[in-house]
Amino acid sequence: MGGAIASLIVLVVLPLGSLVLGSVQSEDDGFSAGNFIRAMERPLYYRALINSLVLGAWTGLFSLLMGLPLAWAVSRTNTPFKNFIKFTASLSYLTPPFLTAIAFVNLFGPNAGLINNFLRSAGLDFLTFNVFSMAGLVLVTVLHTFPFVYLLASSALESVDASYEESAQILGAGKWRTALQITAPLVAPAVLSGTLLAFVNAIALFGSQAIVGIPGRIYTLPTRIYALFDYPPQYGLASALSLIFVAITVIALFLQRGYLARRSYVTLGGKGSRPQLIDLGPWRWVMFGFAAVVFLVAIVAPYASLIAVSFIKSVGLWSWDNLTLQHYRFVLFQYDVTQRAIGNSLLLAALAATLAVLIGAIIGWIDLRTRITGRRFLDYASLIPLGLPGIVMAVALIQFWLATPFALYGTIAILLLAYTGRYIPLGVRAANASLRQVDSSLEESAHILGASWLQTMRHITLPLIRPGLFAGWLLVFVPAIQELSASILLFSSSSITVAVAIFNLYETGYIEPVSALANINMIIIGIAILIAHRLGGQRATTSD
Amino acid sequence: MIGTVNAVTRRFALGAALGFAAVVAGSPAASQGFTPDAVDMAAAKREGKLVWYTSTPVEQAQKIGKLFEDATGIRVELFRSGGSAIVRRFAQETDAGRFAVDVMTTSDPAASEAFAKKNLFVAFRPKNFDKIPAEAKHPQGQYIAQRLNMMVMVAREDRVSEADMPKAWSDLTHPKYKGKLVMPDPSFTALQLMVVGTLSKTYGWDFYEKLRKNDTMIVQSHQQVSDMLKRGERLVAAEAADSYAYDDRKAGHKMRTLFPTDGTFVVPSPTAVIAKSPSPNAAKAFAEFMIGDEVQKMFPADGLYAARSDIAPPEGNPQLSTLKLLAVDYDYIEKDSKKIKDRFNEIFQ
Repeated sequence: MGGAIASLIVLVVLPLGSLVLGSVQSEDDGFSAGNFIRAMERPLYYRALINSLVLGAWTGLFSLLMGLPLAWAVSRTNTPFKNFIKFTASLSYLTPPFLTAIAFVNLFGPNAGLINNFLRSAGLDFLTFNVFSMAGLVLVTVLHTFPFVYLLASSALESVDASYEESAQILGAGKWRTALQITAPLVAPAVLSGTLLAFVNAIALFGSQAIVGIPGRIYTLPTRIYALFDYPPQYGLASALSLIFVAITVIALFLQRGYLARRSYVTLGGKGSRPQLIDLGPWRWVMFGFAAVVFLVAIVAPYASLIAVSFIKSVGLWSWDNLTLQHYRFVLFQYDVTQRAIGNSLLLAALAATLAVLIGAIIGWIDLRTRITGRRFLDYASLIPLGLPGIVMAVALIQFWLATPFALYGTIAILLLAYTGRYIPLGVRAANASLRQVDSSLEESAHILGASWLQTMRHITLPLIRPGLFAGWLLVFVPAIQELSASILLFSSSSITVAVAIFNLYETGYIEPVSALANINMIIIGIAILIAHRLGGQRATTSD
Repeated sequence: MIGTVNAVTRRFALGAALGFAAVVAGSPAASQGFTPDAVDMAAAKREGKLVWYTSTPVEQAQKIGKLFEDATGIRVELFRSGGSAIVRRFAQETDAGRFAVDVMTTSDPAASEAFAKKNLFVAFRPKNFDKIPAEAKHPQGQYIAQRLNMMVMVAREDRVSEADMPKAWSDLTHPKYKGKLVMPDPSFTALQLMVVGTLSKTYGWDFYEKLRKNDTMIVQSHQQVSDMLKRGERLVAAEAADSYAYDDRKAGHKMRTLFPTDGTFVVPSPTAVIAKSPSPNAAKAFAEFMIGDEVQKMFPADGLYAARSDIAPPEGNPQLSTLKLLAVDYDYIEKDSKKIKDRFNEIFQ
């Protein structure tokens, strides 16, 4: 038990503390607000802040415009092929956003993108799209974030007590009026909360912002913080910018939790009565068409372009004679980094998932089953990482461990700390949810029969909550294996991960091998999820 | 030399001195006085492995690692990124008290000089040290050039007419290049830092303000510059490494290297053995190997200029002595690198 508390302190509280300390330390060892003043004065920095906010706002809005209709179509209408829509949302969430970004550069590079070229040759110049722009950045990001709105909205729509709606209809309201005046207000909090989650996630994504933003001269907070680590590094300013970043995230999450709390009375009715489906008539095909377009843009186009580029000798030289496997051979067998990176990624994701779930289980147990004072604080502390974007987590860890005598920087251990810390909230939430479903009387009986705490945990509690914990494990494993935002500042040649290797190769411009490696990466993620499913024997959804 | 740049310190006037060095290296009298530092190969083989941080183009880096492994049985673990990214990683690890790297090759002579002053490198003068021009090495051997980088302009021959080919750096500010230019970011690429640091002094920041007005695209690396040209995303590189254009030409792309009439930059890529390196003997063996015949002769075959002055330039490329070269004030760039990068980013954000 003490271990969980200690690990929370080491993983989250101390690094965050040194971040605060670092931000107010001036170069001559005194304390000052100089770093914050510089961050707010220089256009270099405040423009990054503005860009981040603009990006977040647009992404939130479009996530809403995409996620909500799809959720409504699936849970409330007779739109056909619902599993296809669910599959689209899951796969969009699973696809690492930096891969989508790379793929969209292939497709919509302003002068040479494949689709842009096609449009120009067809005389449709006005339809061409420049991906290196705020609009491009929003597009690439939305394809990853709309599932947040989709998932929260569809779960809310499914759990609205149908009796409300039935009452309305008995009182003479039409279907549409019921939908607008009864259903909409009931699910609005969940939808808003999903939108805010999309906002928070969107502004934290380093990879897509670097790949699409930098060439478009749109610097955002993560890319600006990353640039501050150029030699000579400016730790103080990076810390100050990081804290401003945290403030934005925390405010958004605070609002989000507020909205989510308001939802609680909605679900009181539970899932007792199934809501009736609205017959859309011919419009159901329009809904399906919308989903198909999303599928085309979010899944087909990016993967097709990555696959095409990975088999071509050199981009720009398109012809059937130029097909080759050389890039796969290069990344798999010649490029010294790949195999190491794959090993590291699998190891890190598995370990981080296990640790996050274990710590989460203990914290959840303390919170629900004991009366220890300060357990509420523990619960809150375990949620702090939600407010820490990946790159901020990395800055905090660097600040903290540089100040200690342990040479942890550059080892695989610091990456493990970053991942575990980042994903503890997911572990806690998974454990909490499962523990609530297990009545404490079972544990008490074991106690009465003379079992020790450890025996009770091993033989009663853990087996009972295993399926839930496993779902949580997968929930951590999937984002951990494609983590880039924190890894980019923490990796070294020996601890490099697949995501970093891809970014690194892209950064240095080898687009054909990058595409090959990206495809290999998706195959690995797919296989890992399949194996995990087999082993766990339990289906898990992809997000909260 | 261009008039506005002072060729004051020893390391500046690379071009002039290269001609001189060639003469020196060619005369037997010069190498007589030099006794190379020995490498303990038995100890190196016992160490069995070394870590190399490098900004050498991936293909060549892989080849060099492989050649060394085949020759010695010592494994080379490679970390490859842009010159500035390598320097950043090394500095960060040094700050953290972590010494995991054995040999480092960047294209940042300015940072290398700074690290050498802090004694982060081992003084080591291996065989063939005397064949490296004095301007491309530390006198005590704390760093030694691995190769020379030619910083030039590159244009798509098939898309830019003969009349529109830029002749000098200063031509790039002409409005006819609007929307056609691409160049790397000095925060990522050390070579570009040398160029920006020098041209902003020569022509003033006004030069870059005008490139900004021409909507120049900024990418992170020279490889990306070549990528954007290959795709036809942009047509003229407002700063490029000749070696990538050479590669692209070999692959069938229509790239022309333009040696600017107001001066080409020749920037060495220093290699250093790291103090506190975990495999110090393997590191020395590798550093010696780097300026040995096998590696040095590989460079011209791949379109790069070897560091050693006794080795001819890549086929079809001009001798350095026939080009007008621009000098780089490394001391100034070392001191002001932060200001230069900030200013550049402020203009191009």
